[in-house]
Amino acid sequence: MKNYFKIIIVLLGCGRLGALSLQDIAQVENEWKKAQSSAIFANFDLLEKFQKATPNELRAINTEISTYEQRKFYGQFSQYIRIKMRESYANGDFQEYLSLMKTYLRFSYMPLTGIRAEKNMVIDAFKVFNAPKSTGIIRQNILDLLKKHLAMPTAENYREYPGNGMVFFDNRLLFNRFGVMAMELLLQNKSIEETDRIFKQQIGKISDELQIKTLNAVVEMRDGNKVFYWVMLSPVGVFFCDQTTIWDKCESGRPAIKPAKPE
Amino acid sequence: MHIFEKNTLYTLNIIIDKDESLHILSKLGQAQYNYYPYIHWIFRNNPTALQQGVDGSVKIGKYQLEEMKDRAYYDECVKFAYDIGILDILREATHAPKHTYSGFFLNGGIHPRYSNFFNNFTSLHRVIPYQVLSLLEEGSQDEAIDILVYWGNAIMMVYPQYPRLPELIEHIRTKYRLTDENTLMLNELLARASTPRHKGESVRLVIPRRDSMQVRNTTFRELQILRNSLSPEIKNRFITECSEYLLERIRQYRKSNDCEKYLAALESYYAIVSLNHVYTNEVLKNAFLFFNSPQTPTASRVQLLNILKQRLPVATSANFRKYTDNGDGNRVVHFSNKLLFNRFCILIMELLLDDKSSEETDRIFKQQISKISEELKIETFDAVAKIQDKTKAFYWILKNPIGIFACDQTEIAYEVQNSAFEGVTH
Repeated sequence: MKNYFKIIIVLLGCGRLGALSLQDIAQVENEWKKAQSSAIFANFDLLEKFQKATPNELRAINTEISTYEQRKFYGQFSQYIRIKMRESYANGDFQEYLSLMKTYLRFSYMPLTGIRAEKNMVIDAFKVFNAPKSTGIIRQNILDLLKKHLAMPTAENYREYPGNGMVFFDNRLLFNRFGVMAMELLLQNKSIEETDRIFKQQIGKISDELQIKTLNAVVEMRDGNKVFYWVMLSPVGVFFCDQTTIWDKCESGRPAIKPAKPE
Repeated sequence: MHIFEKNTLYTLNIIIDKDESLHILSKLGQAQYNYYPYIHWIFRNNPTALQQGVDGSVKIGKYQLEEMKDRAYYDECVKFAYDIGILDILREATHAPKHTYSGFFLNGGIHPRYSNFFNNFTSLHRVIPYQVLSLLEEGSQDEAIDILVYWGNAIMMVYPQYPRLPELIEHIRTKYRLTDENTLMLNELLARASTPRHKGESVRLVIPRRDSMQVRNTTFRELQILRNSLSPEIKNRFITECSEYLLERIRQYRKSNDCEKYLAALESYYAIVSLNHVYTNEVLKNAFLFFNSPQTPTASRVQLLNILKQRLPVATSANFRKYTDNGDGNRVVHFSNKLLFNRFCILIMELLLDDKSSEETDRIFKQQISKISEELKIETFDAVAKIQDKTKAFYWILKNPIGIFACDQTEIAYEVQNSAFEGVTH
């Protein structure tokens, strides 16, 4: 019980930082009640006084909550926001959509949650970006938000060596970068040849920076639409997007040995 | 013949040396008596290990004798003892001094507990010459001479002046046109049989070593028999040990670029792991590097490709998808990407061996991938063969299941979705 209070306090903290209203919180509460037990929110009225808590105070409280409980709660909460975002988009309320997205992205990267924006958020945003009814301004806003709030891969964070003889690749970060890059190029709306040239150039730069062995990076026309793909050989994987979908399939880890040199 | 004489474990013979045999023996000997067919096999195929190995085998033999519970076990033990030096086992089992060996047989002074054992031995003893002649009539000359030499060496230990042996050898030499190798083997056996010995003189069993390149071609049926004849636990333990050993050898021979040994070890490895269907991609990736190495001659490349084509299981419409129920009434489809990777590798090697122009290679590659996609109901986005850093590189992008197969001259890899709810990919 005590822990759930703390989570809700943190949640309110998120609400303050982002654009989430108390009504939204109440709705989360309702959803939560349905799914779990009403006892969790028995002393909900007490939360009001915690709204005035500073981020540092919230952070201090949050350290006492187990990671498991945090993940459980935030997992449900992020799902809730995503549903709301889809509804907003379906209703044509792009301002609310963008507001929710901003909240979500800020919330996802809060150091006290330890949870980063999910891949699904990028996938959703990509779909909205490509939807025919999305205007140029909406697209630009989406892109700006993503560029501002999404974490990107760097030479420091892309590879992780946990010390067990393995190296792990943070492909979620790479996915963010690929998604943003594709959206940028789509927004520029250049010729296919020019888009392909810039894409190759950008991928070449990323590959150098992250020491990725790239086999090919291509933009081509398929069924009247631009299709982007990036084939990597080390780590092995592919990033792909067309007008309707964006996905990747990449190797997550391997023994940390030097790649074989040419004979 | 005993099943283990022709099974896939023969393959080890090519690369095993004395120390390694003993190492394996010690590992196996400490494990369980069920391993003894393999110990039998190791001795049988490795004369260099025999001299020292007999001591180890005595203990195993004794243990078996004490643990024997049924007739089938007796039969196996007889075959085992027969090949690796029956007298030592008998001495251990009965605590008899060496010079009384033949007395046991001739006077019937055998402990009742071991009577079946001896009965089996003597039956085998009578049957062998007829089996040898029968095989010669069938044209299985190598097999016949192998048996005769094994049996001849063993029987000389029991009956140092066994009269039928020289007679039988002479008969065979006269009646059948033998190969040079078989003639040589029989001459050596005859020389041993004609050497007078004193009663009780210790005689070592000598087992000839035949070039085993031909016996590596184990049939599927033989492998199946082996698989069925062992308990899963024993089978897996043995296969694991053998395959780890071979894996080490593969790495070593790859490093030293010893083509012949490398290929032998590789083929052995695949023959053995085919018994439990546990294939590691490391070996295949290693083979790909070997294939692309400038030091590998074309003949070895062809041989490697043939081995892979013969030994590697590949994806077919029957084995590529497997279905399970996730408990919620949804069907989950699992993709055998390893099998698809095998097929991809073989295809690439074939194309590289063809050594056509880049455009032609790309055309054929696309064609082949399209054929595979159709057969396996894979939704392919693209398949490309291109020149990268002056060498050919290939990739194949799949949309359903989603994933990638890719390679250049130095690396081959894949990453493909393992499973999905039926009809859903991403």
